[in-house]
Amino acid sequence: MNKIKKLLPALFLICLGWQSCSHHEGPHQSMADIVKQHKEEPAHNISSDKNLDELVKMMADVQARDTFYLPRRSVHMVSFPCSNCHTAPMNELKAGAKAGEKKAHWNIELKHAKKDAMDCATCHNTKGNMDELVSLTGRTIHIDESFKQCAQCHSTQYKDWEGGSHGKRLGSWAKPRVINNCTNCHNPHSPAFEPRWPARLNTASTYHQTKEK
Amino acid sequence: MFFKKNKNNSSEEPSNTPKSGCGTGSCSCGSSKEHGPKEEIKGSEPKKDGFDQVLEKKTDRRDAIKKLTAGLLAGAGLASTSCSVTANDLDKEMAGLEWEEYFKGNYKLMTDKERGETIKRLERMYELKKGGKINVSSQGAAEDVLYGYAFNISKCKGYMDCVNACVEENNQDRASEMQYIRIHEHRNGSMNFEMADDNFYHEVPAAGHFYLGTQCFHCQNPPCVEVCPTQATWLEKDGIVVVDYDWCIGCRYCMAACPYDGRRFNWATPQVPEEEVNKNQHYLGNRLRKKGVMEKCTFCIQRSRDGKNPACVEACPTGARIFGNLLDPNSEIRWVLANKKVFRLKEDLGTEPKFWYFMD
Amino acid sequence: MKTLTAFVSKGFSTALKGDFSYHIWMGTLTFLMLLGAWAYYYQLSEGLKVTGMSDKVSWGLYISNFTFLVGVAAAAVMLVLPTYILKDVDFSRAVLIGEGLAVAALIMCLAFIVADMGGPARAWHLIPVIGVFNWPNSMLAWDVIALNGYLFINISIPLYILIMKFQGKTPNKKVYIPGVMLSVFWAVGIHLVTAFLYAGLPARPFWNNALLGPRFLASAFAAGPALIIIVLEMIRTFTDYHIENKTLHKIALVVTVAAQVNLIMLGSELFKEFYFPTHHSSSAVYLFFGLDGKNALMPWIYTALALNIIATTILTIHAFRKNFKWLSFACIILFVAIWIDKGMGLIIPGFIPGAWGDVVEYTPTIIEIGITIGIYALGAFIFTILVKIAIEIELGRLRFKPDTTLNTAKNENEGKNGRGLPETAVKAEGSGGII
Repeated sequence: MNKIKKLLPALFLICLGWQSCSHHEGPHQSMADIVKQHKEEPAHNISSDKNLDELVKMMADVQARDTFYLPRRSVHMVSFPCSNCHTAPMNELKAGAKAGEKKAHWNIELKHAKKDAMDCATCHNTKGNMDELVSLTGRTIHIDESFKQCAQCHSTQYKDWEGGSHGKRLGSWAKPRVINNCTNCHNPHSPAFEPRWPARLNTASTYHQTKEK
Repeated sequence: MFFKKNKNNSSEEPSNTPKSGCGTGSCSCGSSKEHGPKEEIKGSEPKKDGFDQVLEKKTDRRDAIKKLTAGLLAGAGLASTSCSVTANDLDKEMAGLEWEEYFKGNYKLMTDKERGETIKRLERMYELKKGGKINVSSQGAAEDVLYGYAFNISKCKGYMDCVNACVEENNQDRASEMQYIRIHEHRNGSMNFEMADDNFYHEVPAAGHFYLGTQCFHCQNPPCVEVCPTQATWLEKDGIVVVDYDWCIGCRYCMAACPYDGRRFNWATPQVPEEEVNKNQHYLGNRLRKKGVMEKCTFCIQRSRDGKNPACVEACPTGARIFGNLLDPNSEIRWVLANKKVFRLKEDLGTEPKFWYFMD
Repeated sequence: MKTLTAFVSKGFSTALKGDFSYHIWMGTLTFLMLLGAWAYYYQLSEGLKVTGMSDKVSWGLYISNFTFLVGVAAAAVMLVLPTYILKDVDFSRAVLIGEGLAVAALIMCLAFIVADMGGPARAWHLIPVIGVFNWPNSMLAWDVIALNGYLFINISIPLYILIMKFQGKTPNKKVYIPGVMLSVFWAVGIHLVTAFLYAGLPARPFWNNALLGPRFLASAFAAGPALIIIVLEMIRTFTDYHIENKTLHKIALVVTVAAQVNLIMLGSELFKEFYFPTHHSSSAVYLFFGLDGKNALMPWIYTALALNIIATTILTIHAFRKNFKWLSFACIILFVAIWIDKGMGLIIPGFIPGAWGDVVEYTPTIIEIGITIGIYALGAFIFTILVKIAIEIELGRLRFKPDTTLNTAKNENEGKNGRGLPETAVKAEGSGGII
């Protein structure tokens, strides 16, 4: 009888100990380890299923990581190509304007960097082919690859964008990788996001308390 | 330690019989589809360990009980229908479906056949109830996929577009305004959640503040799964923590165990206007819930397993939300982990969340 | 089988008989039970939104009372242990009462769990074999085993003894002593398991505390026997069942020691929380001082603290403890103190502040209180019946006579306390042959 008496609590503790061991004897893998182990391309066949014809294919040059795709901008711009109107060089068009008349692009206010650092001609080609953008060194940049323009000053953001921490993935997490161009989110003439009202009230913390009242 | 083995395997997607709960389940995986009915599998695989037998017996017994009670009910049902005028075939069909649904097993342990049957029933029941058609998916986890999420706290501006998208995508209860995502407004200079405001409604971003979103972190070592007395919640192979809404008994132990407020409970029957119901559903995802069961973020399992980004990622206007495959060395999420200074919340608890935060 | 039927039918008719005050008492309890049943029906049809619980405070009055009552049930062991093993005759008269109390408390525990469930209709998912039982990982699965096992033990042992006495025989020690031994350890087990249910959650620092288990035991061994003292005093007053002063004094000693240990543990918890309060002390700060101007629990916890200290002081002073009026008073306030301390005072602050520091308070609704009262009434009802039958048998008034007509076999009593009946009946008849 005494033996049983002694054994029972021991058994109970063993049971519990056994149970608690289950958590730590084979400790769960840390995420760092899981991530470290996977260096190979995954085998699944999920794909982002985008119509690639509509996209601009880019090869990442700085990070040399992978191909990615951008939506075409030129096809969505109403007044593109610019050469439809800009048939003559800028100074000739300006000379033809009457006094007091509203100038073209009057509604564009440049809220991007300081006045002495940037004006329209910093990005837009005013001398040669007006359908193209122009780099700081005078090389032309296609309007669909405008990120190259931005990258000249915003090199950190460019790196992050190409790597994946800046910008926005479109549609799918799977390959091929389709991301927004800079100008899909930022207005190049006023790149900062404007403050606005939130889309809705955050109720997650008050649920059930406020709903009845 | 047999249960350790069991625990590990339980996170795996069973592809055939309920035997997947045991360690030897894998030996017959894949072959079951051709074999079809369970009887045949029994014949083709003479060796079974104790676990298989227990699990199989379990289904058998449940079946037996079901048949027994169904018989009783049929008797009662006959008596009542013979007297009632309003009862028609559709009502009878509905009652039958509800009966079958009540006695179905845990989704994790169901065979592919059983899964197909319950989905058919659910779709039919919705049709009978509301007239509309829904599409419930049972798509399993893909190979070599482990979902992870990164949240850029220098980008989030508190616009709350993610929350709207989440509610609409996941058919959350409109009456109680249930939300999986919480956006916390922190004052610069501190990240003390007790001081943060997660009930703001003013123009955002407020000067001198930053925004941080929380939701279910899909821990790789989830305490909620550990404590569930009926295994109604588990970790899928692709890293998503899911709930079987029909198996949950509503004890809310998981809710007490979650350190991240990742779980939501249906305190009443959830209300979603018929025209707002997202009909593209997944059994473990956004299908309509009932009162008294737990639910939570599933990384939009109906979308992510289809290759799409979760609704919150898609809706975010600032690109603060990054989602991807942790096992793909070329994924964006991996790039963030490798190139950014990341942190996770309450990392000291050892829950291994698959949800990281970082700054530009 | 005949014995059993006679036992049940006679027991039932005993339960029906009584003086006017007995009928008033039982009538009131029935009324409260019906009230609770109506409230539960309302909760079932509307969902748990009719309670004060929310996603922030997801357990409330039900789980608080469940936790407390597990302690009361476990405390029956304090009487069982000396009676059966140490052969201390003083306790033997009290022990049946104690075990009756354990049965009633356990039934209340189970009722509270069911009341708290979101889908009680799906509770069969919890049943091993036909459902999926997450054992050994889930502490709730452990608790299901522990509670039901304990209920079974506590029904079968006294039932065996009573049936033997009912037949005019002496219970066979070889039959019930092993059961008693098991129940002793099981009692400690149910309480530790219930404590671990909370202590195993790192998400809730207020509970995630090594002292929680031991403190559960100490407070249980104070509150349980305190309730038994009150009940025995009432039985002594209202029935002619004699319980010696010595018995009460001994139980009082148990209560005293447990209350003292409980206070020491409370002190050490308070020291840990408040000497250098960390982020993890927020719940304790809320409980004792309030957070963000919200302090609904403050009056409760200070009441509990004050009552606890007063009761322990009274019990510690010999002169007071020996005086039955003082003793009863101390026991009542100690019981109330621990009910607050271990119910609302333990469960609610565990959720406040929430995971992200939000302070959302909890107030039970009328429906919740109604169901709670109903369940307590159910417990009292069951306990009264059990004790009444036990006393009648112990006093020798209720005996099996072979020539009794067995026509009144059908009754409800079987359903209420009959969970262990068939097994014990077999045991009883088997051992009846041995003696």
